[in-house]
Amino acid sequence: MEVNPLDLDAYSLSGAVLSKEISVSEVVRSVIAQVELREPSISAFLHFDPEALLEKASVLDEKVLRGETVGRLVGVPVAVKDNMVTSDMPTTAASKILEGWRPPYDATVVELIKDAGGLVVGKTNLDEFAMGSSTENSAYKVTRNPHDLSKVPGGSSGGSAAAVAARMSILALGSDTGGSIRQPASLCGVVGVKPTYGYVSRYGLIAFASSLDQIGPIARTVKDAALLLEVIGERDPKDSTSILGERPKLVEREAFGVESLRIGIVSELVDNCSTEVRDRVFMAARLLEERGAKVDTVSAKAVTLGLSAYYVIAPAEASSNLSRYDGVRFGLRKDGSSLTDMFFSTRTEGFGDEVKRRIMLGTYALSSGYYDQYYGKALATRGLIRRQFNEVYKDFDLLLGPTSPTTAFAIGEKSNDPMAMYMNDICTIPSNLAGHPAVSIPFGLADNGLPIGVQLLGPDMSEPLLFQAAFELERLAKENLEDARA
Amino acid sequence: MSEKISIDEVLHVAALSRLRLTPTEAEVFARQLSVVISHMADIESLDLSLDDEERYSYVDERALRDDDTKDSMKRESILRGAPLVEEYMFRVPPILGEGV
Repeated sequence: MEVNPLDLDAYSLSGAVLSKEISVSEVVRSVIAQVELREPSISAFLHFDPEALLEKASVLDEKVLRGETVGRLVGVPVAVKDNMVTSDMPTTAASKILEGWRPPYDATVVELIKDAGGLVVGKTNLDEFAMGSSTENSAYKVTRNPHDLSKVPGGSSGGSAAAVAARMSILALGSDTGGSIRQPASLCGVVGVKPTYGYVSRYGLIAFASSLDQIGPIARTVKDAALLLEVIGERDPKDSTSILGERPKLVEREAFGVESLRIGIVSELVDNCSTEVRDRVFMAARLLEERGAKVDTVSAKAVTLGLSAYYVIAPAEASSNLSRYDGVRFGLRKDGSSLTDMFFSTRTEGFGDEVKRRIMLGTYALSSGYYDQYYGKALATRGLIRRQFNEVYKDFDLLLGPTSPTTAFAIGEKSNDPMAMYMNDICTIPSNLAGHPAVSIPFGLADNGLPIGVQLLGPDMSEPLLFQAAFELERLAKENLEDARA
Repeated sequence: MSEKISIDEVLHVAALSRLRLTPTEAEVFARQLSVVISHMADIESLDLSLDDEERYSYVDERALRDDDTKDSMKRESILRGAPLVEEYMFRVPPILGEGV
């Protein structure tokens, strides 16, 4: 086969492997060559082992040759964010407190990818414990945006988005607590999906804020994102919040179009972004209208309260979830004269500043005297946001808005100003609070050459409609705008 | 500007979180956390309460699964990740006599 397998989409690549036009070993050699070329300047991976990958590839090749049943992702490279546990690779969550830890099991999503014949190519960098919007908070390295190495890739799934954008993997998994899949996808010019809460199993996802966390796909095309979500979207009895029942088909939505779909532009979301990003959202709306969608603006005032509610609820849950890192059962231990002294030494040395900030913020919000003032109010605000969204969805099938208020910012620009960093999530947080799904789709480049993403939001379990519109937006971008891929 | 959270409060919250801070860190965190907490004024002043349906919206039939007996993870594989192990146990510093 003449073409580089990394130029293919996941669909075509697995087809080529199945028909023996290309071997999995050839795919892996292409991945290794691309990682050798791009990784030194991008730093997307925390773990990448070429030897082990070649071994896995030859096992898969033998299966294909013997005609054994292999899954829909056979031979397709998938990069996995390093906050999902893998039994055959270390898992650190980009924290010193888990340095060198080898989990005793695979996350459900990792198992599903392996069962489908996918190749987990490596573990990608993130903000420590997924707390951040730039991937600068990793304890190990700073990932750079493949479009401009002086810029951040977004975060916290910055390693996964950068790896896909730089063609070091075809697919990737991210996790999204307040926008951590969609914002880096937008900044790197790739597709990112946060499914409905409970759509994808969280078993084996290192918990940050359990009521908000959701795993989802990052891909170069909408079709590839749909394929990966079909593979990982399964009911899992090991996750008590996993939605019951079958997940709908998504890839088939490619040809449905947007005729008669009612799409609302949330004015509060576009108000908060740069002129260039806002113009692009309105351009997307106009083009969707030309394809038959019914577009109108709509107000959802409660979304402006999302940031405040989120920065109480997420740290509160994190302060509880991260109490498990105590130096006893896994990861780092720093000796102390007593058990409590060991807890202090281990946690003080093992956690980075942003994680400490959020643990303290959460502990403060949950402490007596402040519980009702902050945590109770934040939960009530979350309820208000969900109710207001559901009211809006009586008149609209989907909503449209920006994914990130701006294009990628410079490395170091916001790292000393937590509030400025938190503002990056202003357009993505409302979906997490409501538990609703949302997709970021690349929509051309800004004047500075950096990608702009637009976001589609929908009610619970609206993934089929979301993908239907996302496919259309992708076609419209291709017809009307410069290619946003790095 | 008066800080929303004082250095003493930061040190108290750090102790509850089992974190040690240097005086400089406590000062920086007090300043940064004050900015974040000030931003929360917009929800602090809301006249909102949560009804029980919302409070427990995530507790539903999903949480239940069949009560079947299954194999657990092997003890050795779990202990392999521990910093210090003795026989089949996690080893920790003495607990009795702690003067905390």
